[in-house]
Amino acid sequence: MNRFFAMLRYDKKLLWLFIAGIIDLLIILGFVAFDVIQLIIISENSAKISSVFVGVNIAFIIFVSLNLLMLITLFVIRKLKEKRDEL
Amino acid sequence: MEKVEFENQLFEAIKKDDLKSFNFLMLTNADLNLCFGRFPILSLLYLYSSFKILKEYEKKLLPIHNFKQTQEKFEMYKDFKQRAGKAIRLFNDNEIVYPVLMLAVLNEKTILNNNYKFLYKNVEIIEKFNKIYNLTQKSKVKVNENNISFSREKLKTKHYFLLSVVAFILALFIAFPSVLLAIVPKKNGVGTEKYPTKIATAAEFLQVIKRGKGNYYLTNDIEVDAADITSNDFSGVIDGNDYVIKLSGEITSPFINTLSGTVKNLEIVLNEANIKITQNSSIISEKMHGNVENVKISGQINVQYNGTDDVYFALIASENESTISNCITNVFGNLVNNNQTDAFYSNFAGINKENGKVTNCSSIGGEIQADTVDIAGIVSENYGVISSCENKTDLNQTSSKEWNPYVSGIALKNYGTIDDSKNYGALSSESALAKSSVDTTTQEEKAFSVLVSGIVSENYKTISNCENHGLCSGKGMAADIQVGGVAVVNYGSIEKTKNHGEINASSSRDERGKDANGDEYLYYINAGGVVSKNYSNVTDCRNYGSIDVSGKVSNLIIGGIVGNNSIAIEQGEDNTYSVHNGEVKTSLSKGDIKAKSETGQVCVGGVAGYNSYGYYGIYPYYCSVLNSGFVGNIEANSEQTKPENAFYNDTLDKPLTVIAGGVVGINNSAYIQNCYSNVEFLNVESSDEIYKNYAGVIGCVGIFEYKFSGSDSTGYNSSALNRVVNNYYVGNKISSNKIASSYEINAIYVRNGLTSSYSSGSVVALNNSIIYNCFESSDVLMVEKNSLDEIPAGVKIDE
Repeated sequence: MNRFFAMLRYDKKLLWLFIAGIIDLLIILGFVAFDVIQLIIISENSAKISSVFVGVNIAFIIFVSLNLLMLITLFVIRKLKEKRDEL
Repeated sequence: MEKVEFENQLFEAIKKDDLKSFNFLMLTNADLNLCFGRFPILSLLYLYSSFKILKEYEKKLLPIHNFKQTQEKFEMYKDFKQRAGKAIRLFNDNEIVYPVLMLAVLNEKTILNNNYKFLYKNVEIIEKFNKIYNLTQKSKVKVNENNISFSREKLKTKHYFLLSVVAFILALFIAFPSVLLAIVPKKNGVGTEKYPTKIATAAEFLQVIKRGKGNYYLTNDIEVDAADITSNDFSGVIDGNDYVIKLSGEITSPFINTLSGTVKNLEIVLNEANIKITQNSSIISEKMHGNVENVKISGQINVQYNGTDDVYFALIASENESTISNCITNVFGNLVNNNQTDAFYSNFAGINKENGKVTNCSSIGGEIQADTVDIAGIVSENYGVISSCENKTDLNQTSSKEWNPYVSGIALKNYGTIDDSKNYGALSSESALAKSSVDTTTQEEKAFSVLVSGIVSENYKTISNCENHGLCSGKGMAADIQVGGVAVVNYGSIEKTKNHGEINASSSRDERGKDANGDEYLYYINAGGVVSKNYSNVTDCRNYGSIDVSGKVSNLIIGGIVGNNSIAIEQGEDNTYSVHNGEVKTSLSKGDIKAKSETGQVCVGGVAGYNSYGYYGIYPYYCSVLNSGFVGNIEANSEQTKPENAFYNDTLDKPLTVIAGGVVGINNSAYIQNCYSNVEFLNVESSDEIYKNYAGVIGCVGIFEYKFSGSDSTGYNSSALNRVVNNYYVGNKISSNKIASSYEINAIYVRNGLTSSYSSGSVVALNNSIIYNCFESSDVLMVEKNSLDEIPAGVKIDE
């Protein structure tokens, strides 16, 4: 672990990538936590479920979709470059 | 430190990435160009991923190309061999593994690209570099001027697997909120029309009110403390889902100020709610531009009016500009007006404005006791439409203040349309004021009126297809009393409307009022089975209710359909004047009439008590009773011994104490056509026989004016003319003094009144005018055939 952080400190790009990944993960966990809390409230029949709930979950879907899209895009680019290199 | 020990410690520091030790050793012996056999320090740092040391020393180590050889350790070779794999064959025993080659072996492309862009122009190194990549990564490398470019390695199965796992996890994260969005709105709602939000607690309900918009529905019965209510405008939808809101505590404001949305399917139970108001208010909404549907309000309320201006309170909305439909009330209430400003109560809407509709609403029970608060079953003032409504709440008002107590089954005032509505509640209005104060300007006793009616107190537009089944009772002392089965005063149109309720009116005052001159006058009681005072159209109406009126010092004017059929001149807002003349058409009364006054005059008609004419400028306007009839008994008596303040027949110069007609009591230069009666007079009595006059059709025909004591005004006017044509008495109970009995005579002029001081007759008791085609028949069977529910339009009776 110590060596891992040393590597992060050595490589700034890797460090930023790591930070971005952590933030990304925290945001996703934040969304999940919000939904879990809302589900607890829902189970108590609250009227607080409102457009905020819908809005947050739509944001959740959009955010994770962007992650997935980015992953797929990188994969596609990589494949395209592979093809180009083969040629 | 010995050399060997130094090298060992240095190797250990590199392996463990121990920067402190490395620093220490460099301070002791700064041999950065040291090369362990084939491995320079930098190459070892790469091999063992010693990033801490690299971060500090890489820049210093990069430029070093000449190395100071020392003993290679076997462990180094072993580790290098393991990492190099097939590439190990490219390195001879004595060949230095330059850092750039070590990075190639380790496939550290990022470091290569960061640090080795321009460093190596050595052809041999480049060649070996390429060989390493070809051998280990099966990819080509091109060393350019500015960078090193690598051909992409083909992704391996493990990469695809990793990619798939990450994609799957992300897909799960997308699915999770999607499923929530699909399930939760259905379960709890989100405030949209499709997915309304649940309300399960009072706090949530109050929050919804505060929020002011959105779609909601109740999932439980809830209890709300009125003190917690913060009124707000609301534009959304609250669906009660047939659950109950129990409301208790002190109510000072409604749930909603202005409702532009909808409240529906809700039951509100008022649990001893104390309501204190200073301005218009209600339980649900003050101003309503939206809809209230299928709402039930029941329970007990105590309302205190403390306003300084008119205050309207209604259970649903104090002002309605939209629709209240299919609502129900069942409320027991005590109302107190602490001030003397106008105060109103109604079950559904205070003011139903022009665009307002109250439809299919019913008060199914309950009772309202009011002290100086005018009350109505459905609406206080109607400018819009009331249709298919019912009132079964008993409404009682008593006031001991200088106040006109109004009570009506449907509405107090109607400027709009009331259709197909019914009252079943018992209605009672009483003024307990023993004596009113004297006006300081006119020195006249202030005049007050008690008004009670089955449908509307004052009608200015349209009432149709309505019914009253409730008792209408008016009581008073220092006030005129006006009771109508349908309306008290009619300036509009009343059509196809029935009264089944009993009409009771009584005055207990035994002292006369005094006018500005100090002269005494009598109070009046006006009562009609349909209308008390009629200044407009009453068409196709029925009265089945009995009328029982008694007074001590009051004059009584009573009719089976209308009490007083008269003329009114109305001044418009633009100072134009319009004349309203009463017209009763195709109406039938079957209720018995009983009238008794101790010291006043009694005027009773089976259809109209008093039928008169009037002038606007030089133009006479005649009231009329057309195609109408009466079937029933009439009792009329007065014990008056002194005929003061009597109805005078000026021509005859004769006071008339008791006047009773099967159709009209007194016909004062007005029209009566195609009417009939089957009346039996019971107990028509006067203190003096000379003062009683009764007949099958008209009690008295002539030109009259009220002639009060001390006044010598004459009522005679030659341009006024009675038109009494084709009327019938079809009973056989009046046997004496038949005056006009032949239909063959088209024009008879009878002046028997000149020679007869009292009379009874089949058609006319006392006549002072011209009568055309009036009939007396004893064929009762024809009455049964033609009467009752059939209008005897142009009644045909076989000879």
